[in-house]
Amino acid sequence: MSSFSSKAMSDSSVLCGPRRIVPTGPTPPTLDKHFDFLEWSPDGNLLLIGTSDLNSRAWGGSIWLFDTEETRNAESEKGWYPHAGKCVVGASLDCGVSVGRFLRCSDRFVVGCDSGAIQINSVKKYAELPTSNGSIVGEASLTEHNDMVLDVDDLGGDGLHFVSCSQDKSIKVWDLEALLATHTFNPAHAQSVTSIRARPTQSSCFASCSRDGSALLWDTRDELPASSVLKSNGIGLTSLAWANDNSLLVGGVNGQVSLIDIRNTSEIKKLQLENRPTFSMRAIPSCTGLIAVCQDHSKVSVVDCEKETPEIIYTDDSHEDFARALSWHPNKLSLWSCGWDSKVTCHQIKRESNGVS
Amino acid sequence: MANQDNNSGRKASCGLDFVSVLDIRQCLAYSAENKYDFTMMPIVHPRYKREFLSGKGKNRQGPLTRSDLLLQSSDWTNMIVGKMSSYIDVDSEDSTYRRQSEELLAQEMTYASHLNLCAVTLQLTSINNVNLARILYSKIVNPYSYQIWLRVPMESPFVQSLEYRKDIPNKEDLVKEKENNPWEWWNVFRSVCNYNRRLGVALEVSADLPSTEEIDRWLGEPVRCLILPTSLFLTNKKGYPVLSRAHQTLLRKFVPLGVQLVVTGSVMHGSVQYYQQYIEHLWQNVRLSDPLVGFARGYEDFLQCPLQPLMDNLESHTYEVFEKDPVKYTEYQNAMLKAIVDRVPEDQAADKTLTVMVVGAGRGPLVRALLNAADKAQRKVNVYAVEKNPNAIVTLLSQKEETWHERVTVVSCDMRHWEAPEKADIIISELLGSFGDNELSPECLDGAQKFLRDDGISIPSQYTSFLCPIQSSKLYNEVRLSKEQDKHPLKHFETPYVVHQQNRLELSDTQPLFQFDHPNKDVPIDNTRFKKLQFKIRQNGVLHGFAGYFETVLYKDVMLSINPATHSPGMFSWFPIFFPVREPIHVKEGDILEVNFWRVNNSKNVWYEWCISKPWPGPIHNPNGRSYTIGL
Repeated sequence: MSSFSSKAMSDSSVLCGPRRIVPTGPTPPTLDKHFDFLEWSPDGNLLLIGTSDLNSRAWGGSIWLFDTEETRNAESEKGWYPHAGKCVVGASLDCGVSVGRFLRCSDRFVVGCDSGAIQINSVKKYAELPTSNGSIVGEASLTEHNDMVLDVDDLGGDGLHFVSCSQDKSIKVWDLEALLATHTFNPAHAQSVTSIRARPTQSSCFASCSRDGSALLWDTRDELPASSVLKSNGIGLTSLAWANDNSLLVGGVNGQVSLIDIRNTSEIKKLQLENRPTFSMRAIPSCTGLIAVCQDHSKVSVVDCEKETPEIIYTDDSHEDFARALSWHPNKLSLWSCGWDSKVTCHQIKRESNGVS
Repeated sequence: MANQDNNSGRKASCGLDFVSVLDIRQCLAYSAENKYDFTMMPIVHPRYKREFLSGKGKNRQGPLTRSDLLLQSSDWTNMIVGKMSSYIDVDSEDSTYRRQSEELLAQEMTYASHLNLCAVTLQLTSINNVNLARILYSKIVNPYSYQIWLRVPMESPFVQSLEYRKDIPNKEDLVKEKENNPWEWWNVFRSVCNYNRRLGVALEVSADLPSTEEIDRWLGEPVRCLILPTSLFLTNKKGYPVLSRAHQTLLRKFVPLGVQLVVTGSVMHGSVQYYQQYIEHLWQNVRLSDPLVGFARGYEDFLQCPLQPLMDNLESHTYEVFEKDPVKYTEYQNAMLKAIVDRVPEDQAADKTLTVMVVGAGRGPLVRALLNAADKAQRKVNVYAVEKNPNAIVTLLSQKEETWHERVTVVSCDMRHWEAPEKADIIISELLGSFGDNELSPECLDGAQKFLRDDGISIPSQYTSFLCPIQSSKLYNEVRLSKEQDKHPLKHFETPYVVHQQNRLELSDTQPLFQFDHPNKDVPIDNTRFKKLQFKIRQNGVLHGFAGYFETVLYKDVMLSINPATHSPGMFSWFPIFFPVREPIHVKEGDILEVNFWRVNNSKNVWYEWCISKPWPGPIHNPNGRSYTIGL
C-alpha cells in the first residue's frame, strides 16, 4: 500500500504534528486486507469502509465509499468482497485506520488513525466534471493524541462536537468548526480508553470504558466531570453502547456484557457472549434497545436490552476471521458488519415485539 | 583507581518512540535524519490480535508481521527497541484472556529474540504483575540476548485520573495506597524476578513530579531509560522546546547513571529534532561540579576489594594515584603546621628541634608535607620516615640523597617492630581505609605509640566509621556476580567492597559506628568493637547492604571526611565501602532497621561480622571471618 504522496514520512505520519491538511491521493488499486470499520452515511446512500494492512511491509490504510448499487452484493449468501474498481471514491492513508463516523451529513466524516491523528474528510464533487465521482478531500488532521485513536463518536446536539479516545489513556472533546479540542481529559483512565459513546439525548454527556476495568460517565458541564458506572477488578473493559438514555451496555475481555442503569449503578444485569473480548458495540439508531456486538471472534451478535434480562436475539458466524466493525443501516434496520476476512455482510434482524419487523 | 582525563559532558543517547510504523526503513532514516540514536517501535502491529485457542481466527493465514528481510540484522539489533502489544494482560482475572495473553506474549517475545533486538519493552500497569514477572523471568534466565525494559510511570495514571472524578471524596487516602504507587509495582515485579540484571526500568517522566524522596528512590533502581513525553516541554521565546527547571534538575540527577532517553508523543514544537537538540544541550551542560565525579568516571558501581597494605606491598602505580589527591595532603600539612606550632612556642623556635616520625611513609608525600609545614612554621624538625615496603624505601632514600639530606632518617622496618633510638613528639600516619579502621590503623598505631612521648601527638588523633543502609539492586547484582568457584558459597556476600556508589538510594540517615583515638592510653588496649545501630526507614524500599564511610580528626579542627554529609570537597582518595547483605530485605516507611556490627580480632587477623536483628532477625555475616579477614 502506498502512502499519500511522495513525501511519505511526514511528522504527522510518525508521531503526529502540527495540524496538517491531509493531501488527497488517487484512489488506490486495492482495498487493504484488514477491514477495520464500516459506516453508513446518514442518508443511507453511501457506505464508508476503512481498511488497514496490519502485517505486511507497509502498515498503511485506506478509506472507501461505495454506493447502494454495489453494497447490494452484501445481501447475498456469500457476503460481499468489495472491489476497488467499483467504489465511488477511495483514498490511501499513511497509517492504519480504526474508526470512522459521518458527521450528520453524508459528505463529511472523521477517521481515527493508528498514528493518533483524527482526520476530517469531505467528499467533493466538481460541477465542471459531472461524470466524475468526486474525490475525498482532507480538511484537517487533528494530531493531539499521543497514541492510537481507538474510538470516536458524534456528541449530538448541534452536530458540531465529537469525542475521541485513545490508547494514550486520554479523552478529547472536539469542536468541528474551530477544529480544536475544547476539553482534554488526560489521563481519563488508568489504561487505554477502549471505547466512548455519546449519551443519546444529552450533548454534553458520554460514557467511556478502559482496559483498567472501569467505565465512567462524563458530563463536560461539570467541574468534576467523571463518575463511575462500573468497576470490574482485573477484567479490562473493551466496548460499550447506550441501550437507551439511561442504560449502558458494557463489555469486557471475558466476553461478558453488563447492562447498567446509570441512575442505580448497583443494579447490573449480565450476559455471557463468546468468552473472547468484546470489540465493538453499536446500538440501533432508533434507540429501541437492540445492540449489535462483535468480539475478537468471527461471530456477530445482537443483544436485546429491553427484555427482563439482556438476551441474545441474533447470532451469525459467517465471517472467516475476527469481525471488527458494525453499522446499522439508518432506515432499513439491517445490520452491516465487516472483518479481517475482507468481507462485508448484511444481517437482517427481526424482533417480535417493539415494532421492529 | 581511575583515569582523570575527560571532564567534559557526556553525549546523550536519544531514542524516538513510534506508535505505528508505515515503512520501517523510512522510519529509521527519519529518526537518523533527526539525530536520534535508536527507535522504540512495535514489532507486531499494535492492533493485530491473534487467536490461539479455538475458532476461525486460529486458522488465519499470512505472516505475523512484516518481514525481517526489510532490514539488515545489525539495524534490528542496534536501532530498535521492540514494544510488546499493550493489550496483552497475562495477569487478567479471566483465565481465557490470560491464556491467550500468555500465547501472544510468548509469540512476540520469541519473534523479538529471532530479530535479535537489544531490548524489548512492556508496560507495568498495576501491582498485580506476578504472572508477568514469572513469564519474563523464565525468558531471561534462558540464554536470550535481549534486555527487558519495564515501562513504569513516575506517577500512577489512576491517581492522575482522579482529578476528574466527582464520586470519590477521599482522594488523598487513595493516593497513599501501596497499589497506587508505581514504584511498588516495580518492586513486586523485580523481587519475583530475583533482581535479575537484564531487567531495567524505562521510567515515564510525569508533568507533575513526585517528592524528592520518591525521585531519589528511582536513583537506586536500574533505570535504563527516561521516557519524555513531548507534552512535558515548554516553549521558549524563540519557539523551541525547553524543560522546566524541575525537570532539568531531574534529568541532571540521572546523567551519572548513564540513562538513555526516549522522546514520545506528538510533535508540538515544529520538528522532532528540536527535542533531541535540547536534550543534547542539557547533557553537554551538566557541569561536573565535584572533581570526584570526573576522577571516578568509569568506576561507577564497580566493586573493588579493599587494599591490604599491611599484608601486601603496594605498587608504584597505586602510590602515584593516591599522591595526586589535591586535598588530602594539604589538610595533613595544615594539621602538621598547627601541631608543630603548638608543640614549639615562638620563643623556643631557634633552639628546640622536634622529633617527628612518619610511619608508613610510602614514597614520601607526608614527609614532603611535613618539611613544608616546618619551613612555613620556621621550626626545626628531625624526621624519621619509617616504611616496611622495601620498594618504596628506594624512593625515600633517593629523595633523602637529593633533597632532604640530614633532616630525614629513612628506616626500613615494620613500625610495630622498630626499636626507635628516641621518643617522638609527633607521629604521623596515613593508614586509614574507606571505613577508617579497616586497614588496621589502630593496631599499627598502638604498636608505634611505644616510641611516642607521653604527651606526644598522633596525626590523625581520632577516626570514626559511619554506616548507612542502602538500596541498590545494581550493587546487589554486582556482588552476586562476583561469586568465585572453590570459595565459600557465601563469600561474596560476606566481603566488604570499595565502590564508587552511583545507582543507589540511602534508606535512612548515616550514623557513626566505631571510634578510635590515638594515642590510646587504655590498659589493656582493646580494639574489638560491638555496636547496634537503629535506622528509621524514610520510605518503602529494599535493603541491599550498607555504605560505610569515615571521618577523621587529623589534629584539633583539621578534618578529613568521606561521609557524604561532611565530605572534604575535592578529595578523591577514598571511595566508600559497601557491606552487602545475603538476601534483599523489604523495608517499610517508619520501620526500625537494627543492624549489629562487630570488629573482631585474633592474633593473625581482624575482621567484621554483621547481622540484622530488626525488623526481622537474620543470619550473622562472616562468622569467624570465614569469608573475609584483614591480615595483621
